Amino acid sequence: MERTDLISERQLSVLAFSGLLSPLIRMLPRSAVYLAGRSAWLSPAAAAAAGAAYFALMRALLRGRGLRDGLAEMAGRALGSAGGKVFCAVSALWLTFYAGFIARSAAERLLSSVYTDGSAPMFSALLLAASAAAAACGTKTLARTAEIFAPVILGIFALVIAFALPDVRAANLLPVTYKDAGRILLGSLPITDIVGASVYFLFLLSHVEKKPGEGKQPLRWMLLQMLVILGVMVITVGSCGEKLTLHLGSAFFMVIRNISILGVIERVEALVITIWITTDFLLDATLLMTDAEILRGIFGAERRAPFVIPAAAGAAASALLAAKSAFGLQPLSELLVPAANLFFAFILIPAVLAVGKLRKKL
Amino acid sequence: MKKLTAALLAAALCLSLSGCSVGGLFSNYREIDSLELVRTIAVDKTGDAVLATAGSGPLAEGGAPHISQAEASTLSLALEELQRKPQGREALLSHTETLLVGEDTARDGLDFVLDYAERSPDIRLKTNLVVARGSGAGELLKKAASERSSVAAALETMKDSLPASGKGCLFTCADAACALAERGCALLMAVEAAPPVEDDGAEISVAPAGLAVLKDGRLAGFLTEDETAGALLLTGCFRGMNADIEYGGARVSLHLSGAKCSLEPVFGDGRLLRADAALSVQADLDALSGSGDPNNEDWRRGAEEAVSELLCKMAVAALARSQAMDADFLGLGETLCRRAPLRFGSQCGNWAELFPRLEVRVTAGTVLRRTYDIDNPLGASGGEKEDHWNELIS
Amino acid sequence: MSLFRKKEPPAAVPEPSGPVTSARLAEVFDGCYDYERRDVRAGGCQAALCFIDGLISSNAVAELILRPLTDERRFPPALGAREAAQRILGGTVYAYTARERRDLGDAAADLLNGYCAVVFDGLRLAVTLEVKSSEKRSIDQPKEEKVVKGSKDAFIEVLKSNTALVRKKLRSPALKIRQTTIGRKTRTQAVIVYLGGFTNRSIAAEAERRLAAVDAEGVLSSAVIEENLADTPNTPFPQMLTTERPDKFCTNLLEGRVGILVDGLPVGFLVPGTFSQFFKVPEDHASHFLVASALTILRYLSAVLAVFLPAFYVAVAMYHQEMIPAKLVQSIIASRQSVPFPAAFEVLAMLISFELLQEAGLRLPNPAKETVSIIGALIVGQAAVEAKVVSPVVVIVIALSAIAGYTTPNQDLNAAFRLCRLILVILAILLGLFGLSLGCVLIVCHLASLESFGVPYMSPFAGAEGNHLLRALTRYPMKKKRDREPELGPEGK
Repeated sequence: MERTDLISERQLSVLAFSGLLSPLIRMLPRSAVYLAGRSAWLSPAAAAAAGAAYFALMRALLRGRGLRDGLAEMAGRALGSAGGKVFCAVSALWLTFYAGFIARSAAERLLSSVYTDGSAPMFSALLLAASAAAAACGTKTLARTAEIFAPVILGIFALVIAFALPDVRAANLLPVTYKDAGRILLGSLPITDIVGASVYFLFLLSHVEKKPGEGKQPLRWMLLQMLVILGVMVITVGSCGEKLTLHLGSAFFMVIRNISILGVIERVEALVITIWITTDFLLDATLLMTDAEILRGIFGAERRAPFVIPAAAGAAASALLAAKSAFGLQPLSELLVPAANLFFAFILIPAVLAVGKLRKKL
Repeated sequence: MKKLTAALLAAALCLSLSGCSVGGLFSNYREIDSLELVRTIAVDKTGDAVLATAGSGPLAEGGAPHISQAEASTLSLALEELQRKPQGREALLSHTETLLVGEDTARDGLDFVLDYAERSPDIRLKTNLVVARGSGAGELLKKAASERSSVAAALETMKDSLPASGKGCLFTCADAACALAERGCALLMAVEAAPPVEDDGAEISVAPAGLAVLKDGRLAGFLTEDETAGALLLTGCFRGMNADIEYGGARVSLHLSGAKCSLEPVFGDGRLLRADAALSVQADLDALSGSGDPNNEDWRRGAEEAVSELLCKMAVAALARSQAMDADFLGLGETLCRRAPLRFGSQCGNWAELFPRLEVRVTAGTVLRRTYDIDNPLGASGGEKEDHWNELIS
Repeated sequence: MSLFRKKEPPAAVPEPSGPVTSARLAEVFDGCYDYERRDVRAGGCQAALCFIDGLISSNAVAELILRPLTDERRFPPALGAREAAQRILGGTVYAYTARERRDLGDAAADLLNGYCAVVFDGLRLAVTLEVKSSEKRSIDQPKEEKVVKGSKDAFIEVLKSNTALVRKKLRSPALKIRQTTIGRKTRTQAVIVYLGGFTNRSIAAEAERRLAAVDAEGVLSSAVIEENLADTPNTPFPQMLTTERPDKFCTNLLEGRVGILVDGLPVGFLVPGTFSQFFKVPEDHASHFLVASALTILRYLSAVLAVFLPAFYVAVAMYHQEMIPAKLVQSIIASRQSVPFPAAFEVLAMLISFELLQEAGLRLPNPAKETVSIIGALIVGQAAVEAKVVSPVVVIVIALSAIAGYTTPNQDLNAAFRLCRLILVILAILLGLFGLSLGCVLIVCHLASLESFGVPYMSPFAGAEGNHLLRALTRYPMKKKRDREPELGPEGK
């Protein structure tokens, strides 16, 4: 393993933050509004609490990990060599598919907004090729790229939210009473799904150098993510109302289509969508890198880079074959992917780590 | 490894260049000078077909706006048909500011227009949705077009002037869609043909015609001037208007601004008894002809009461119309629910049934802020002026 | 293909070696018109005074070497060769550096460094004495890095003068200057400069190692140093700061960097090089911190404008016209009515024309330079627009982008930006904003992958020490300013 390719916990958190903004737009706010109605804008607060609890649980389960232990290595110790390899193989297969799905979703987003005559295979292929090139460069490179883009993405977000706020109407957000608490919690489910997808980044722990004082970094960046999601929910539900938000396919992009920056740039939708490509790129690159890392572990190789291309090829195949149209993509987006993410994040991986703890292997 | 991934990237690019997939590279490429900017789209239904008229608005190089028309079975097909017109330019719809719908078409149903606005990647939901009262939208668009005027220019002027005139308010497709989804009814701005402005070169000009009421996606009626003003007051869209009142033998012109409306539900016997609407407005004296002394406190109080009476009349008219049409276009239910959500939820019962017979008490308060330092109007007798000064000195 | 095959270094030319005699020295410099040999008697024995004319000071040779040598009070005839040699080494002649050389190669090297050699053939010994010519360019004002407030001296081609300039500014005994010789034929002297006990030892050691390992026939240009010491020579982005200002050189030493000075090059090199360093100018330390901070931010924004504006225009004009305000779209449509070429061609043609003008301006002598820029402005700007070859908007976009690029203090970085600009324009032509976004992502990824002596190139924007955006974008007030940069890992306090 390349022992110089180390990053800090803070860098991993920034990478997770930047990459996980990608599924945010795909899923929210429609899924949350479907479950929580008008009060869905408060769901990020509930998800933050759930996320904090989840992080605390995972920290407890990961305590005692070795210096160069990633999730694959820990699973190997917890489940034994054969069991560990099965777990890794399942994870690798899922991550390959997920990476392809992300690329296909990004392509679909471009086709339904600014590139109406475009080609999904082309956009998917280009995004995956760029992601593969970045994945081959190493963990440090990707983490630094995320560190550079994170303030840019946050800045664009802040600008968009600031310019969209005048169109927000209190009537669309209020009233919210204690009776809505249950729905708010329900609405936090899709948001928690996004938080849970950060569990895939644990495979890269073997490249993370522990530094003092960085223990709270994942929590901080998760809370920042919730703040961003809160902003998205407020401007979308506040502008469109509950029913219109459900009616529209991607209400957030409808809202930002209306934004004009001081009359200088109209319809910042195109700009925001293409900035979002960076989040898709970061997530895809991380997934491919993680996939390659798992494959390296399965085959016991020294270097990860040779496994990037097979991972990318698998992702490209799943991007091309998984869904031929937006209709085919919908059940994947609304059912399969969230269910799988929740399964991995809240059932499988914690169970594997718990087994390891119980067997005193971790 | 880096060389291999660089080669992979290059291969992916070459794959795109091969053009073997449908709409590969250069998808959505258009030369900017091959485009014609469409500012207004007028929609009329002719039987089963849709007639779309696109107007370009004032041109940078001068000249009358380009108007083109096409008919097809749906709005999107009609607009596509427009693209094939032999003027040599592709219509750029993404800058459309207004969707103008004819009265008859609106009465038939606006769902197809809103559906198009929601689906189209070109049209923004912030596009204004306006009803052409008393005529077809395309006809209005064509007749109002000249070198110095167009519907787009007129609506752009209205966007700035309407809020201060109390004659209406421009609502967007998002407003309409949101209101229809939440309440089943919505308000839209209406315009009508008016006599042409001299030297404009157009057959007609475009003037505001109050607010139009949509119910279940169809045009249900138009509000009168008073009802329009009342609706603006009650919905918080009021920005200002000029009001003329007769008081104390004088004709008083005031500019009203700073309106606030608070709606409170009143519960009793475990149910919603009524709603109290309290309006407050600030007024400035613009003109006074006849006898009247704005410095006199009693006179001022009287004038304020007269204005308050006028406001109540407007608000009551709007409320009455809303209840008569059984269309809560003022958002009364939502506002009352926001004020007392728990009680409203438990004690209101079926709002749709309650609304038409709900008692709404309207009170208004006006504050006359200033008279612009004029003690007496020009033309008043000097004796009166002297008396006034003597009074001040003593 | 030769692009991918590693080049083998050329076969080494054998160096002169063996015992030193005047005859063998003459053989080494056989055919050289500037090689001089003068027989002298010192201490009653025959010796030869050898030197390279032009490298030595003839007055110094005459007054400080020959005169004492021929003085019988200092060198009585009965002295003998060995004793005479000892007296010369002991300071009886007035040279401040005297070396004993028994190897022919060492003696020849000394002659080439401005020494003269007193060769005692019988002893197979040469005593080399430093009598370097003082002919050199005077210390002048910097040509490129001018400031209003601040010192006005600049490095020159003489290494000793440059090290003296540094020593005058950093009068600390901790300042270490370690010498090495590089270049097989030029045998150029180069020094590593750093602050001992402060600069990260591993960086200093690595710099010294790389400098010593420079594999070149000659060191006559800065590219030899830059490309040999850089971690990634294949990238167009500079990885080493170069400066002609001693004050800037010393400021960077105080921040924890290692400096390199090379004889014959009037610049100092500083490693590690980070991206943010190339946006700092000496004027920043002479202005108020708020003004300096605002100007630094302006430079970054200008860099963004320089790289992205043409591609953004192309993407928006070709694919995303909805982003342009309505009146501007109409104005652009009206202005492009008679232009026969597509927007993509216009932008590319203007970019290339501008690069041609820029290159022509660099190559021409000064009087012609202004003429070319006037012709360029006339032809490319006005005439092209009036002839409807290009539209006015494109001229504005390209001109603005070029002017923005000039605010980048470092010309190497500006050159890299120009390359990126072209690549992004091509991607924008092919794919619109998606292509621009992808290109941007790949460029940033490439920058993120660069390291300079173990320090991330993009620090402090990105790096394990945390994101210190504020420190990169602003200049702290002097009271709060820390001289050391944490990412360089300086030692001690």
